[in-house]
Order: sequence, then structure tokens, then C-alpha cells
Amino acid sequence: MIEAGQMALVIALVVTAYAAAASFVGGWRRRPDLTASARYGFYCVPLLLLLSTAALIYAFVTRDFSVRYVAENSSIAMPHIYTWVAFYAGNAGSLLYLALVIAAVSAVAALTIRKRLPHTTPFALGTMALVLLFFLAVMIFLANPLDRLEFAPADGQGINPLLIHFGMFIHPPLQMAGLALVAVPFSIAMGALIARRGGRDEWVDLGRLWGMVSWLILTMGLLLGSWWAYTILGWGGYWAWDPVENSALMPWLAMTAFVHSIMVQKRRGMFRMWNMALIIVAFTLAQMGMFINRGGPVPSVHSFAQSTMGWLFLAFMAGTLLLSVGVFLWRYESLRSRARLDGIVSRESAFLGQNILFLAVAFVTLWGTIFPVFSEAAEGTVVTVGQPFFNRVNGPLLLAIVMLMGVGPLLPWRRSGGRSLMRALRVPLAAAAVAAGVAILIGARQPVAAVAFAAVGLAVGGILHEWFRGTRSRHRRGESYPTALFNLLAGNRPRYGGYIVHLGISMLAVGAIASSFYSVQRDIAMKPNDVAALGDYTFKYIGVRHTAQPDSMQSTAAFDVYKGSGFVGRMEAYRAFYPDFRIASTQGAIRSTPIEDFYIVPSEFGDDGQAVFRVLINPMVWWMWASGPVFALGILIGLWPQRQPAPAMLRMPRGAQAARA
Amino acid sequence: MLTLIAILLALIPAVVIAYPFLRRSNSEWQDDESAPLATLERRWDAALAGIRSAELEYAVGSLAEEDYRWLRRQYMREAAQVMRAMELEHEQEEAMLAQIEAEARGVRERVLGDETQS
Repeated sequence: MIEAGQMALVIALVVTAYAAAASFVGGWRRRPDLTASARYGFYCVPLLLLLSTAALIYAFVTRDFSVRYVAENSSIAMPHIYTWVAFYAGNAGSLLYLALVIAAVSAVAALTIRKRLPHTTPFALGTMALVLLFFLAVMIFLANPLDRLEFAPADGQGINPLLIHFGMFIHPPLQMAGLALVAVPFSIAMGALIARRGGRDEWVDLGRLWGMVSWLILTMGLLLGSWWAYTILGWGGYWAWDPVENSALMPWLAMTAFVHSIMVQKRRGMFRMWNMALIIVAFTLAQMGMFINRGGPVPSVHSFAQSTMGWLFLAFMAGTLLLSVGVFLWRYESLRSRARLDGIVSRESAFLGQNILFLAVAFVTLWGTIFPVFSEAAEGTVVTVGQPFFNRVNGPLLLAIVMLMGVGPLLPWRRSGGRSLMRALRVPLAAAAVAAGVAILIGARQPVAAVAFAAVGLAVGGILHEWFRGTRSRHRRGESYPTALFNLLAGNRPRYGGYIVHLGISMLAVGAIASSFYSVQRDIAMKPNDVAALGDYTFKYIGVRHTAQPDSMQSTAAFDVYKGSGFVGRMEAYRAFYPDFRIASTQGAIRSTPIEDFYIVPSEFGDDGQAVFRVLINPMVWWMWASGPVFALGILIGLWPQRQPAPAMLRMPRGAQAARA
Repeated sequence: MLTLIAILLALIPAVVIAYPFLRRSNSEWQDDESAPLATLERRWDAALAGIRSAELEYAVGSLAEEDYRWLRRQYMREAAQVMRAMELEHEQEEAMLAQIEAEARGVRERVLGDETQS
């Protein structure tokens, strides 16, 4: 089985190389047989990689420690359910996972674009195949997950304990898939550019579709990563501006700018160069994410996927950046826009402003992330840039983005006069004032926090007001309220799907703002039966229970928690030490409600049951995790195929149909 | 056994790759997706989407009347340019423009009902 998997890997490499070469040559020489051959070959690659993956999984399940990767990432004590996590827990396995995802998604993408973009497809498929070729070559020649050891050990080293968490079943695969999937819209854009069709906008629909898919997956990956950090890293927060976190955030920012900006190209035939530049930037930042993940030079808490092959990813990133900029310059003339900006106050301008803000956040984050490298090169000392820098610089930029998110969708395309602006904004502005007022009433004392809540109020107010008016109007025509709302949303899915995503962003923003400004924290040394208080909460430390696990020593602290005079419940937090890995894993006790989280995390345990705990009240964090399904719903609605309600209006004139025939 | 597996694994993609050369179908390089008509169709769609959007914005009260009229004029002009580029008969153009007007009104009424007329 292992040998069959190895062979499948090598054959996949050869077939991918053929697909890349045949695609480009076939596209260039206009040879449909050659491009079809490349495409068919490319369809085989995911099947071959699936076979290799099955071989690796089989080795995990049968505890075949003669396979180096299995010996390094699992053990007899590891429950079988963690085989999925072990599959991508190390460098070689994660490369196989990435290759499988790129191959499978690229094959599906090729299927979706080949009919609608026959001239673009060969070059797009060639680009996807080149990206895949890189991952396959690195894996096969430098980090083969199916390599055998000369002597099989009796037991494996086991899985990294930090990965033994429910979130790890979904977060790393989604995060990696999100980074990898940026390659698809990038390849479609590059394919259109090479085929001299970058300026003719036909790639826009499919580029946007795949852009949104990769955006959603990146979003879910980021959200689940934050949730994992919050629940298992045991420091009470969810975002630390760690280099690996930043490396996932940066392409997300660029992709967010792209999926908005591409709408302007679709509607107005504008921003053609800008969109090409954005997708190149997004792809480059995704490659930077891979580089930082796999042995980048900046220190990070995410050490489990590190390797010494970071330089290869850096070289790939530099190579693809140079090549894509070269193609961009080569086809520069074909990217001239057919329209111009009609008015400064318009949806196009809002998109442009929002794009610039997103890129500003991305580049501030990039600068902060790579600053240690520059400081070391310049002064010989590694100077890391911490949370205060990111919060101070990115905070206002993100606030401005939320404000634009509230205003932008309310502006008409092309231009808006003063009266239209006031009409569109009066209710959202009132909602913003109410949000700020409520925030101040319930204790917001910092003006910035009140402004931030007002920005969210602006966004939510605008969306809800439009829904309310539309629903009410339909209701007056005889539809029940639920039916009216459903029909309103179904009537223009891209628009209302986007609004639902904006509601998700607003939920995320509420959680981030409230927890950033109003989180309270105390470090308390306690003996068993001690009672302490924080905010409205009183908690009694019952004691600690030490248990020996096969791979760790676990200390579990129990608390009886009261809010006011009411008993909330017994909460347990634990800290486990894994001697083989020299890693301590901490799981906080969290009571989460939409109002606030009460969070206890043990810092250290003494011999006599005495312990030090960090206790936090984090307001409204629940809303951040609840935003995930809202994002998914919004994207699903936005991308769901729609039959237009006014078919005659959207049909081509008959004369044109006849002329075409 | 291993050799057999290797041959099988290599043979399947080889046959699949060779198939387009062997089937001898008279497949030709497909029509250019950027043919002038396709480009015109995209411009037509964009103009109509613009009209729909202006109707909707006006109906929900986000657009003042002068902006709404200006936007409609712009989009109608673009739709007319597309139709001219298609070399339609004058009567056909007039009929299509009238149809757009009627359908735009219909969109507004269908989406938001009579209240939006106020």
C-alpha cells in the first residue's frame, strides 16, 4: 500500500508537469487536442493523490511506524480519531494535504471555467498545474510523507499535544485550504491576462466566484484558529498578532479587497489593473503565509509545522511575484478601463477607499511581522513588534473599514448627490447614535469605544432598515412577514448574501471591540476553599486533582462559581504537561454567554494545592464565534445560482441573437 | 506485484492523456469568448443591472429623484449604445427601450409593492 502510494505521488508529479507544459503549448498554438489532453491528465492528479493519502492514512491506522512520518506524528497511545489531525500535523503530511486540495479544487475549477472561458482555461490550468508542481516537487524530493525508516521503532513519538483539540480537526485544514485556494482565482486572472482577455471582463464572474470560495474558507480558518487559541492556549485572548496568525490574516485582507473590487469591474468595467494587482498581492501574501508557516525567520507560537525549507517557499513566492508582475506589464495595454469615475461620492469610490484601507492594514501587518528580520539585519538585535503597535496602527484603520462597510452599500453606483446621501444615511446615522448612546449608558467610558460601537450601529442599521422597508412593503401586498423577508432575500441573492456577510462582520466587530476595551483580568493565588471575586462573579476554589495519563500529567482545578447570589455551576480548568514534548497544554474553564465570558485559567500549581489562576471577564466574545455560521450562510446565499425574475429584460435583443446565430 | 501496480497506475493517466489525440474528433478551437457580441452582451447586462439597481435604490428611498433620473438616463444611454452597436432596426430599438422601461417599473413593483411609489 505504501509503495503504491509512493508510485502514485511520482506519477502525479509527472502528469502535473505534462499538464502544465501541454496547457501552455496547447493554448499558445491553439491546439484543442493538446489542451484537452492536458486537462484530462490534470483530472487524474487528484485521484492519484487520493491514493497516496489513503496509503498514509492506512499506515497511521495500522500503526506502521516504519513510515517515518507516521513514527514522528503518532503513537500507539494516540486514539484513532486523531489520525485525521496527525495526517497534516507535520510538514510532509501537510504538503500532501495541500497538494491534494490544490489538485482537487483546481480540477473542479477547470471543469467550471472550460466552457465559459475556452481561451483563458489552458493558461489558467497551466498556472494551477505549475503551482501544484511546486508543492509536489518539494514533497517528493524533500519531505516525502511515505518515506520509510531503515528500522521501524516499536512506538511512535506521538502527536503534538496542542493539536489534540476539537478545533484542530477543522482549523488547520481550512486555513491551509484557504491559503492554497487563492491560487484558483489567481490562476484564472493570470490565464485571462496571458490570453489577452484580462481587460474584457469575461473572467470576472468566475474569478469572483472562486475568490469568494477561498475568502470563505480563509475566514472560517481564521475564526476557528482564534477559537482554538482562546480555548486551549490559555492566555485569555484570541488574537495575539503572532506572525503565523498575521500570515493568514494578510491574504484574507487582500482577498476581501478583491471580492469587493471585482464587483466594480463587473458592473462598470473599471478597476481592471487594480483587480489584477490585488489578486497578485493576495497570492503573494498567501505564499508568504506558507513561507512563515514552514520555517520563516520570525519567531512564532505556531512551531508544529516548522521545517527548514522556508527558503524554498520564499523563492517560490519571489518567483511567482516576478513572473506575475512580468505578465501584468506585458499585457498592461489590454487592461485599460472602459469607464471612468463619475462621482467622488459613489459606491465605486467607497469600494476604492475600502480597498486602500484593507491594503493599508495588510501592509502594516506585514511590516510588523517582518520587522524582527530587518531589525536583526540592521542592528544585530531581534526587535519584535507587539500587540500595542498593531492595535494602535491597525485599530483606527479597521474602524474606518467598518464605517465604510456601513456607508458603502447604501451609496448608489456612479454618483450620489447630497440629498440622496442624506436619504440613504439618515436611518443608519440614527442607529449609530443609538448604538453609541447605549454603549455609553451601559458603561462605555472611552470615546473610541463609543465611536466603534457607533460604526457597527451604522452598518447594522443600514442593513436592517433596508430589509425592514422591503419586507414591510411585501407584507402590505399580502405576504406574511417571514415569507416577505424570504422573498426579498431570494429576489436579489448576491446583494442580500453580501448584507448577511456584513452582519457577520458586525458581530465579529462587536466581540472584538467589547473584549478589547472592556475585558477585565486578575491574577490570583488561591488555596483550596479560598473565595475570590471579579466583577459580579464570586468563585470558590474547591481544589486540584492530579491524574497520570499515558502521555501526560494532568492537574484539574475545580471551582464553584456564583454570579451575584445565583449559582452558575461548577467549572473545571486543567493544565497538562507532556514530558516527551516538553509542552504544557492549558484548557481554560469558560462560561460563555452572549453578554460575557467568565474565564479561569490555571497559571501554575503548587505542591499543597495552592495555585495561581488568571481570571477574566471577556464581554461579548460569544458573538465572534457565532459569526462563523452567518458568514457561511451569507456566502451560500450570495453564490446560489439565481434565475432572474425579469427574463425578458435580461435577454439579449432578438436582432443580436439572430446576428449571433 | 509492485511492478504490476506501477504499470497500472501509469497506464491509466497515459490512456486518459492520449484519448484526445486518439478519438480523432474534428474538434476545433472554440469561439473566442471575447467575441464582439459577447462583449456587447456583458455591457448590455451591466446596463440592465444598473437600471435594476437604480430602481431598487430609488424604491427603498436611498436615491433622490434627480440622482435616480440621472442614473437611469446614463444606463439607458448605455443600453441604447449597445443596441446601436448591434445594428438593430430603429423600431426594434424603440421597442426594446420601451420594454426596458416597462420591466424596470415592474421590477420596482414586484420587489417593493405600491408603497414605493410614494
